[in-house]
Amino acid sequence: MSIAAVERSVDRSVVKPLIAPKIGLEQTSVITTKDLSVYYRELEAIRSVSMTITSKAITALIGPSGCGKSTFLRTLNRMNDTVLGFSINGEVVVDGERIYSSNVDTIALRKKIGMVFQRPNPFPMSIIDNITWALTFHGIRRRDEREAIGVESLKRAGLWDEVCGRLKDPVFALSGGQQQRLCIARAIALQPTILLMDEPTSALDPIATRVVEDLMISLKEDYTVVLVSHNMEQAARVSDQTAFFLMGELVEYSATESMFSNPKNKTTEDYITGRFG
Amino acid sequence: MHQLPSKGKGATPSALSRSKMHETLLVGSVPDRVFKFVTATAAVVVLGLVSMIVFQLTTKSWESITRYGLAFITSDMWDPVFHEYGALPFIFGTVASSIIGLLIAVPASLGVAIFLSELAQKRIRRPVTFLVEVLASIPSVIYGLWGVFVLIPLIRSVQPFIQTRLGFLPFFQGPPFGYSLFTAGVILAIMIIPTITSLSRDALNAVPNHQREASLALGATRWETIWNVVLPYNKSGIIGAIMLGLGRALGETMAVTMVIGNQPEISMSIFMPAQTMASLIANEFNEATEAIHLSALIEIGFLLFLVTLTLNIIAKLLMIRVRGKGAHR
Repeated sequence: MSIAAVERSVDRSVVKPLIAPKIGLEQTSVITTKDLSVYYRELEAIRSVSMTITSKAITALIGPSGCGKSTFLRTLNRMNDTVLGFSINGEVVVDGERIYSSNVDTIALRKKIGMVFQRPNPFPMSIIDNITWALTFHGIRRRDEREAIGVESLKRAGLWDEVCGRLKDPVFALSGGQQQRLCIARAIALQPTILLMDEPTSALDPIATRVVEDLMISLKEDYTVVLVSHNMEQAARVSDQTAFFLMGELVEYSATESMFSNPKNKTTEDYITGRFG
Repeated sequence: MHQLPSKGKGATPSALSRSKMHETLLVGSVPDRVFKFVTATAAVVVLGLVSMIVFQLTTKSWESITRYGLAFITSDMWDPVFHEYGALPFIFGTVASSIIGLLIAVPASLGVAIFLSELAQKRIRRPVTFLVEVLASIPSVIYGLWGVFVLIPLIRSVQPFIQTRLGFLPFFQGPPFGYSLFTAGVILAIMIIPTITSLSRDALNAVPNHQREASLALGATRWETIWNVVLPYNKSGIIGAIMLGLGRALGETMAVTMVIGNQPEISMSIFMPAQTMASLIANEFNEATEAIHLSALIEIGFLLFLVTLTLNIIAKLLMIRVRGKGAHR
């Protein structure tokens, strides 16, 4: 089924792609770290962090710049592997598998763990190609199948209504917020179970931020979302669990509500009340 | 930043004083004005040189241009004794040797550029970059010598072997002279590898890292990332690098003259001698006693100048697009 055909079928509101891709699986994923320390050469960026990230919930990682929250996030899908001098100590376990053991297939791991970055980083291709491109080398040979998945992903990311008539347009015709949602759609097209989001709204205006936040809340029905946020209001608004990092250490980790209403740690309180950071 | 002349103590940078400072900068003190005059003269001299060259090339070749017209380009007869001048064999030799050079140099250069910008560790990157630059600094006559004493004997001994396998194709026929289009192509390839390598490495470096991360995070391999994301992102920069390499190959004279055999012939086989526009000029300008012969040679030079100029302009335009991309993304 071509894109045009998909568009037509949508117009007649019979939404039935040829192969109904399953976006949002029953499966849940659990991430656990045990005494995780991360080094860039001699610099210890993360010190002995042990935490379990709840599945199908949003876990926010907060803390001042340079506290290691982004490093921690990028350690979860091995995106730090390409960084020179990177090494770890301790364990990261995703669904019972130690992801830093030597026999782990990083390709499969990154397919299972989607990632969204600070700035929207679409490829300079058409809107639909941005999503279908990665599917080509993940074994989906048929073009119509890829495009059906692309359409489903756009719908799931709440972007479909805005782009349905112009899927072949270059991606830079989209606004920043739309590009970021496209990047989310691109990630979920691979049917991951975990989504890592590294300050996904930091380059967006308040309205686009709101839309992305609403999307995150709806995504947690299906995905385990780990969100790095610079913005404490955002963490308070969208997350279920919050982890406060400071100088590479996990200071406090608890349910968002209790952390923001009744922080156990004095430093946490100082940070969330805006006394530093 | 410019060192602003600090006249007036503790002047607040109000709009007035700033415009005054600007004026001072433009007009300047006496040494400033002299300096400006000297540099401006240098700039004008360069412009003047280029126009002089164009002027000389046209006037000196005018006799040949008017006498032979278009036939100069389409005829394959070059006979100074009977005053028949056709540039086709030399155009062929120039284009064919450059294409052979590109066919060898482009994959090699892109391989090195990809290695340097995407894969190599820092401590390997430096020496390799340095060696590539050394390659660029070797005088072309040395490449020519190397071609005559090393490459030509090598090709002589390899050619029969190739011919037993592929000899049925017209491209590989002919006696093993050694002096051939192919030899010239190989030498040209080695000479343009530094150009293409360093420029396309710059083009790859201009690709923002977030593109690589986007690709890797989608579970793409390194290879898929380089081939499908990094290279296409800066296609125009790489094409520009290749065109500048081609420009160099088209105009290269010394090394080519030494190994190409200098026969004004158009042959299907890459193992046959040929001659390029540049090597023709180098070979014949000394013996060109008659005005029309000289004029024809200069017209050849004019053609070569036009071709390389056009190529360079296109390449530069592509490079400007590269820099724009690197700057705002």
